[in-house]
Amino acid sequence: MFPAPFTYVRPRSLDEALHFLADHAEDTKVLAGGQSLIPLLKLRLVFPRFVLDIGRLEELHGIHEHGAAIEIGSLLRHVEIERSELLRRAAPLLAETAAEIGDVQVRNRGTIGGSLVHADAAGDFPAAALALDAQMVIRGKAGERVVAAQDFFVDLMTTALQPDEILTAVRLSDMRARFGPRTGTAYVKLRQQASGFAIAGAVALIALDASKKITHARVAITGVNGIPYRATGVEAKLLGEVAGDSLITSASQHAADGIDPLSDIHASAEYRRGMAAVVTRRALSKAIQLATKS
Amino acid sequence: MALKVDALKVVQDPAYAASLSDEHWQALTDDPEWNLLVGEQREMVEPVYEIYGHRLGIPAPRPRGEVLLAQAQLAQAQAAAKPAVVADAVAGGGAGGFQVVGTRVPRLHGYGVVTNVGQYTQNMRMPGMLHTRTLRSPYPHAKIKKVDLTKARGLPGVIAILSRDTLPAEYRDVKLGSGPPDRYLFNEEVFEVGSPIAVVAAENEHVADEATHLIEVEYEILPATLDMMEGTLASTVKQWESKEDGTIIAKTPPLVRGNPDGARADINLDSVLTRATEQHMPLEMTNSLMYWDQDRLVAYYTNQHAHGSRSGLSQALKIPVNRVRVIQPGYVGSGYGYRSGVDLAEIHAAILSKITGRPVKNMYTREEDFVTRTHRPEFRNEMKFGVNRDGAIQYGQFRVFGNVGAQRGGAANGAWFIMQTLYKIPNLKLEAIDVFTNSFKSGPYRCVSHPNGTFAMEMMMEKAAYAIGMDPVEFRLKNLNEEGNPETKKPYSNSGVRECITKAAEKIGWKQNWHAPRAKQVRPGVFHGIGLAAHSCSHGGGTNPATGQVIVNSDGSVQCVSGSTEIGPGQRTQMAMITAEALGVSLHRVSIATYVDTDNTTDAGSTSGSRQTNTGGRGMYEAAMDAKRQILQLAAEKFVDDAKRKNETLQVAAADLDMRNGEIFVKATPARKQPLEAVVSAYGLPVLGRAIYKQDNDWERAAWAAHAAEVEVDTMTGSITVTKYVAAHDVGRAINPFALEQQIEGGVVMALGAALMEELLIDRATGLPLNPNMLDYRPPTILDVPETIDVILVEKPKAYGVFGAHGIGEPPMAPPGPTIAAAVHNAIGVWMDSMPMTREKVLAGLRNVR
Repeated sequence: MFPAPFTYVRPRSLDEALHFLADHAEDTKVLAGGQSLIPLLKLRLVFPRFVLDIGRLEELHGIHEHGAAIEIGSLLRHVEIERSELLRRAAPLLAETAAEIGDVQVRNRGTIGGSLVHADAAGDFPAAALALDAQMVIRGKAGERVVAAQDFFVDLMTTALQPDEILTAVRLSDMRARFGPRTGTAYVKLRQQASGFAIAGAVALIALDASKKITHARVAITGVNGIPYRATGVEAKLLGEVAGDSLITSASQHAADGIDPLSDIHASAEYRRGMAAVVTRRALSKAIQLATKS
Repeated sequence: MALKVDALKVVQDPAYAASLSDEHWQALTDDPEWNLLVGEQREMVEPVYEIYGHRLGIPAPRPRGEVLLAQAQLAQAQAAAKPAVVADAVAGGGAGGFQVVGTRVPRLHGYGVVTNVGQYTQNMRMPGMLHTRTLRSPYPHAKIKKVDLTKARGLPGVIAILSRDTLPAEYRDVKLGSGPPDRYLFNEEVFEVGSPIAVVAAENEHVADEATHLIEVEYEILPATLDMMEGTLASTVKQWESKEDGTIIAKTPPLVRGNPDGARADINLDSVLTRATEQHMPLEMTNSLMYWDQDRLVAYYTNQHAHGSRSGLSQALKIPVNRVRVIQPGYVGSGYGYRSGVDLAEIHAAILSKITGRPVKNMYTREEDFVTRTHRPEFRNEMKFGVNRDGAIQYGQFRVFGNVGAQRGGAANGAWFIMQTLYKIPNLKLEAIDVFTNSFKSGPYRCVSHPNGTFAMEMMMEKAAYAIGMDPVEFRLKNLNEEGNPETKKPYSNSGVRECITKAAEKIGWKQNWHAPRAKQVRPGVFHGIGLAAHSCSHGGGTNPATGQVIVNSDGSVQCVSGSTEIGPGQRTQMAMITAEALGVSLHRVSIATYVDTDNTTDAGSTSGSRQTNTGGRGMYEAAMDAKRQILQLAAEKFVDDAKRKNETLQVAAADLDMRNGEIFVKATPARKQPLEAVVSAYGLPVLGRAIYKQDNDWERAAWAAHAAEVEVDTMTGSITVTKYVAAHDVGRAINPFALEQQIEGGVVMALGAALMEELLIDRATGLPLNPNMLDYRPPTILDVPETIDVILVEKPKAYGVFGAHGIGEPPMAPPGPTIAAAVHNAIGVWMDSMPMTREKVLAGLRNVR
């Protein structure tokens, strides 16, 4: 359980980090909170020549609010997201998702940027990013570019991020400013008991109008597919309908439509398919309840 | 707007806490951080402070300042004034006229465990120490054609590499255990993944690890048998000369009682019940630190039997036992059976130390620990059970298969004990078949096979009760065998099994809470269920050698010299308690080393088989009685001499005297007494009590228990949540109820892991382990455990027990499986015939009953 030898590099600024990556992109791994990279190194699943530790770059740390726009530094730790007053108010889904990640130790070390870039099939943040239409702010030698979450997750553990680029921030909008005052969100996951990773996890965002008609429905699923996905079949069944138990139950049956679920030692494909519907129903029910109350 | 209060500061700073107003306290109650801190504080931190606070020099901080400070300070001052003692007993004597037995004594090692004071082997370092790393076979069955060490040798920092080619000639015929297949220190033919190919000793762990990646091995891959039942087929390729089919390694001659083939019953049940491979997963991994002191090997080694490890090393290294010194530090990240002797790693380390002339540290990775040490093996039970409608059992035909892995071993027939002895079964046939496979080795894991016996037997009892429509508790009580072993005719001593069952049932509220299957829905799709299982096994009675020594120094202080190896639950604390009680002194007068050193102790047997209370403990008891006899003799002489000096005449003999609380008194006139220290100091020499005790063979020494649980089963996800748990055990006599309760709680938690989640998996295509790590093996965490585990200590003193005690290490591990299965059936009407009872198996079961 020792990593292959590597050289540790700690840049003093983002520019310095990008400069280093420009020269060594192909044999460098970027280290943030280390919750995914360190195990991969120890298992020798990756053996880079350089480990570039950006964990202490202050410029990637912090939350900024400009009107209804919120920008979250990619190095924000899960625990900071979980406890942020600003996010609890403006994007409660993100705070709720953070609270569901792994265990206390993981939440104290892990970062939102690391989680999004690692893009684990059962990661928690990617699904929330999809449902919230998060924008990924990416810096590389060519400058800055912004990629929508929908386009960011490409394949199993593969994102639109290039080897010489760093995810610097995540942008999103104040939930109610974007979807209306009667918006509720929820994240429900069935955990692998030891790791806390999702066997199936569903993020739901529901906005209602005054007559309880659904004006926005977003459902994103994690743990079931190689990459998180929007359950468009569920969303289509909900949109424009009046929220209610039987609607939720019938709509959530489409949670894994068109998906060929993962199968591993923790759950079969068939189980994951079934659980996608169960967690979707539970998340929808909770989100609707919150939307109705607000 | 709520007031802001700094929750962390409240906990850490009593002055700040005292300054808060009621409004502040009100605001705190809604603060999640506060609730987290307080929960942790109350459940984990405060109890530790309460026990060890005075030694830690920390005043016990209380979240609400409601504790009277003056009172706390007084208690601390009193505690600080006490002399250094083995442990701080709760004041007041135990029940039944005992002074020490029955009191709640914190463990001797507790202070070292919760601080950084305790020295684990893992923490030990020596100047010039080398580190080892082992290259292991990635194939379950292969021939090693060639091992090329050239590149590895060239790596700076590599000092020596041991392999089949480089092993010194004198060790080439050394093997562990008996074949087939033979297991030498390095083998040409390997039968399991993880077999050592080469061991590197290097200046540090990184270099050693890197070197293993540079060793080039040429393998000839051979056909492997990974599936136990495939191993029983005649068509399966043999791996050694054998008369049995396939890879069957042993068939125990069947046990037959009455006429099992001819017996008839109203209800005939036929089930196949299986369990998966489990691993102990102790927190401390296998490790040792060894060096040679001239012609003697000194081994600091985390084990469960210092003298047994000494024997193992002596045999392998071909030197007499008196030239091996094993030190077991007493601080151990638990044992559970898999540290009972020595394995190849320890022998490799000793040889490497010898050839390099330097200390060698050997430390396993978690994966090595998972794969290469022992496991509770996979079992398959084919059960036929006949019962009449009136609740009378008619017959049982039980066939047990055990997967012993790549070794000669026996696992299957261990399940027989409960089948043979717990209930009256007039017609019985027991069969046991051990199957060799190229997979995980079976061996002790908090017992080996009894938990399988209990799962199999109790599942059949539960099924039979439901089948004839009888209350399962009543059905068990009706059929109990409380006399003894029907075959050997050896009697039980004071069986507490009935009381275990009735007390567990009472505590769980059986009469009020038991219902028809699927009758109680608590939330949409979530069903309540209740279940109970009984248990008996042959562990805890004690064995030989039961030895010990008690030294009473001339200042009246008492020293226990015991080879009893501590593995966590407080064995050595109990050794001191037994000594104090038997001798008649307070526990504060007694001292015992935290460690075992084979150079100055005698063998007290392995700390396995739940036996230390009645093995090492018996040794200490008899040694204390021997010391006491000598002391009473000396005291009698002193009484007479003292009287003579005062020109009085006194007729008193040792038989007229007794000792209590460190005072020797005349039984007829207790006011005439003298302190122990006066007697031994007048004698001028220390008193040495010794015991080499041989156990009698008169009793069927059995352990009994009954567990009960309430569960909620989510029929949408298949999740089983244990909401309430009760464990009743016949402990004979509770020597230290504090340690006992913790040991039983710990056993329940471990066993719930096996019941619900744990399973060490193998890839059927390659033979490689699939989940040898904590994340994928899925052991339970504190979040998976019921909030309360109610422990009931049933005390039915045993004729053979030290103060009537019966050992309890392994028994808690057995009943949780069938208890949960019974509760799940009560909840949703599904029989969980296969452990672990995963969420998917629950859903599959539901599909079948719907």
